[in-house]
Amino acid sequence: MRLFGVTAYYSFRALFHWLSPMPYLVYRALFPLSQLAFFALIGAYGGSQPLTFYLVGNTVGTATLTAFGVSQAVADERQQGTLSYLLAAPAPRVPIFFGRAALHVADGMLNMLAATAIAVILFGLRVPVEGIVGLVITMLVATIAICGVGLLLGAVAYIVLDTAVLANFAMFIILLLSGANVPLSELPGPVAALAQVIPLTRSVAAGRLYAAGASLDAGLSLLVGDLALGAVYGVAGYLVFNWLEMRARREGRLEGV
Amino acid sequence: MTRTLRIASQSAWVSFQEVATNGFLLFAAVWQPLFIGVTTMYVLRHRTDFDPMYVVVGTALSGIWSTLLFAGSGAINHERWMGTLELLAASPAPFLAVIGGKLAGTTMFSLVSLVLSYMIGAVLFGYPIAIAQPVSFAISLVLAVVALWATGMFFAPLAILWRSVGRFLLGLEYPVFALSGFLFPVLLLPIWILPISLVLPPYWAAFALHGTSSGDLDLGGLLRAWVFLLLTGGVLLLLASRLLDEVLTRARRAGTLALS
Repeated sequence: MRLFGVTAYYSFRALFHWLSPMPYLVYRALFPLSQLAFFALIGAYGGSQPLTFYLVGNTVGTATLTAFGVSQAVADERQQGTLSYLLAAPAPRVPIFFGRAALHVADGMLNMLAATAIAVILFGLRVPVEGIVGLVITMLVATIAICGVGLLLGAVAYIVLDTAVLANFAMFIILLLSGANVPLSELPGPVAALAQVIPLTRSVAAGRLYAAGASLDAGLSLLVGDLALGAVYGVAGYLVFNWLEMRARREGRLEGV
Repeated sequence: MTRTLRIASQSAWVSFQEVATNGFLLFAAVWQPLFIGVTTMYVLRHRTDFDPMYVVVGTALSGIWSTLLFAGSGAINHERWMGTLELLAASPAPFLAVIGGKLAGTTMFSLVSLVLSYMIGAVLFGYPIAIAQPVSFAISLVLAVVALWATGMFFAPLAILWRSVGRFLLGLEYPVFALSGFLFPVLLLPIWILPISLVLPPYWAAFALHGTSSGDLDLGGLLRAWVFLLLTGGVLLLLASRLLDEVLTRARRAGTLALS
């Protein structure tokens, strides 16, 4: 547990060079909030769906930004020159690997709460009282599920070498296919089927249910589905990382992970 | 003059090749516009007055802007990371020509967004894509590209002289998409924001290109857009020139370039 906590704290803090708050404010506040406003305004201009559709979709969609931090927290070990130390350490891998996502869950939640505040204050989003708890749980599930994607991307980044590009791809694919901006019924059949393996699709749907005032039960099965999917992505990331580590040890090239 | 142009063109060619193999800038110029274009096409196609050319132009501008924003704010920083900044500062070649050429190469590459956006509308969605005023559109495109290049030139020294400003610039991607009316009219924004839009070259670029592609812009409006593109681009280029001088001052006299 100590290892988990230490990994979570330092990998998160190192990511934003927190000696100055500007990088944090830009990457974790200005960027997601302006993204939310941009897509919500396109939706308002398009007019095919009520504004709430886009506001809720993109508020939950801001969870995608969490994938950047988590994937970089995993993949930056090589860039920072600490990968060989990490792999040589006798510490158990599970807390080291999954600890990297821990603080991003809390940070992602803050992000989404800020996005919700923008949606409420600037765009007039109104969530019925009975839907508030469900919406908060939706945000938590969306963030955890996306952390799973981030862990997988971070591990895969050791092979393709470019974390930022990978995370950007993931973010836009998720924003396009999860139903955050385009109703799934409008997407071509095979693409809509692909949306079912995206760990935000169900959270977006659940978020819309709760924003419409549905009871907590109404979206729970959807949220469990996304949570399970996020776990699958996270475990897949761990397996990829372990496989790369094993290969690197066998072939004697730690930096080649 | 010939020598300066030769330096600028060589710098542009090297930069063009670098950008074409840079994963992040490729994403900004190709993949991001693809995702934004497809999403926007789906969202806006239900409008009764839907014009696919509007999405094509807006998507292309988003790609050009993103590429220039990231390349511009990283233009000099990139030299620092590569260890060539001091060499460039000490070289007798005009710094403005080197950086200007570099961003010109990036700008040329970013035009791939325009081709891609056309493909999204014409091939992926099968819409007939036509430009109502092709000659005016072509002139507007040239002026828009020059003004956006000047904006990138302004960002280059700004990002190295003040690091926190440089980091802030990176967050200006979506705000400028919105403030410039790339994919929805700026009238959707609060009225007090409009004066900010009016001083942005991307706003006038979108104004001229949307207007000439749809044919909705009269001659007076078109000339006004062209004048403002030249004016805002010229002012930013002038400021860039002064700031680049400051970069050289720090490099040569104060010796604090690497510490800025």
